[in-house]
Amino acid sequence: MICDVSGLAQKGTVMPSAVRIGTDLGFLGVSLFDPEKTMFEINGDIDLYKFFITADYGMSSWEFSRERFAYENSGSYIKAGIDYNLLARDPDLNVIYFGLKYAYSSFDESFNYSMTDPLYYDYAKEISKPGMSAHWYEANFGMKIRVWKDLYLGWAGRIKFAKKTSTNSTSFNTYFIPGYGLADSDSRWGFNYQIFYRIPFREKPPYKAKKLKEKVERDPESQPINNQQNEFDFN
Amino acid sequence: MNLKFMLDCYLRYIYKLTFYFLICLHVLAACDTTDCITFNTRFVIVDFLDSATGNSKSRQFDLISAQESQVIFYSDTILSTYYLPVNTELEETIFLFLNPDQTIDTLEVSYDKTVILISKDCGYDLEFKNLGIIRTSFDSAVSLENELSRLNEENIKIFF
Repeated sequence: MICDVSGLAQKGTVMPSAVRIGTDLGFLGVSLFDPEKTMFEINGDIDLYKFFITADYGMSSWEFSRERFAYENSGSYIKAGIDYNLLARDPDLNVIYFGLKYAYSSFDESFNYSMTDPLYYDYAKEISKPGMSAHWYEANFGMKIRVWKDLYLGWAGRIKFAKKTSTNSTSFNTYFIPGYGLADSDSRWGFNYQIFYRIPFREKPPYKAKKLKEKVERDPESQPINNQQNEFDFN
Repeated sequence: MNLKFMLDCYLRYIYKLTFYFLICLHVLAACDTTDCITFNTRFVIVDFLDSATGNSKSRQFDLISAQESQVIFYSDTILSTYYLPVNTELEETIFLFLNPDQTIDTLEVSYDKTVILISKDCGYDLEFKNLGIIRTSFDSAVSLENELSRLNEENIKIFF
């Protein structure tokens, strides 16, 4: 991977060609229809031809209560990583990718419960866990397909693994980690349904090469010098 | 039909196929309910054994209770195995055993309590681990299984 990127750098084409900014549609749906949950995530990627530098930032809060207990969780998370684009030459700039991300979450959690104990006595407890954190890795795969102009729809499947949660002296087991999900397992899988808008900085190199070729075919006398062609030659 | 058009159709077909497949997978995952049943228990299983032979031996008590409890767990009972509930608020319990000769034996145990929220529908559960004997007036007592579980056969052995 490093060799490949350095190879591109030598040709002067490692400069980003576009930024794609989006959000998770599933989380928006959850926030609209589930009164107990509020979730929001911004997704972004920078197009480096075959590679994408990706980052996600999200916030979530989850509160629910039942007759004998109440739970609250609020926090934010950030994920960053690299995706490899299997369709780097696609003229519509559709993307099929896989990649790896590092994720970090910080959150506050509290749990209140009451116990009716006929063998001893009734009591109520409040357990608060402020300043908790967790980190993990995510192996991603997914697609981003152009649906209209620079608008893309995508889905992402992810396996979250190697989770580590900060320790806390309270007697309550962490229940939920923003960005990760339920904390009862060291690995989880998840899906995201996303919408993106692509903001190009410059024309992507494969387009340039194609246009040059077309121009040459139309007007052989205006054939560019070798150096110009090589700049966009990815073979 | 040029290559670009074919690739475009193919991609959209794959995208639609996987998109609907994932929605079905999500619906199926949502139907998968959490198992509310756990093996955690608050009861310490205390076995009485003959100190000479090491075999189970019934022992009579006029009553068995705990220091913080207003409830009598056992009354005028002869058994070799007793199920004694720990105090779920604290991390220590002192069990009191009233003998037929009106003397009182004690067994003080400690444990670590963890509150586990299973799910919002199942509620929470209490897990007790690292059971240990702090002190006892019985001749000899040994802690075996240090996690309170319904699967345990005995947690503490008392020799007399």
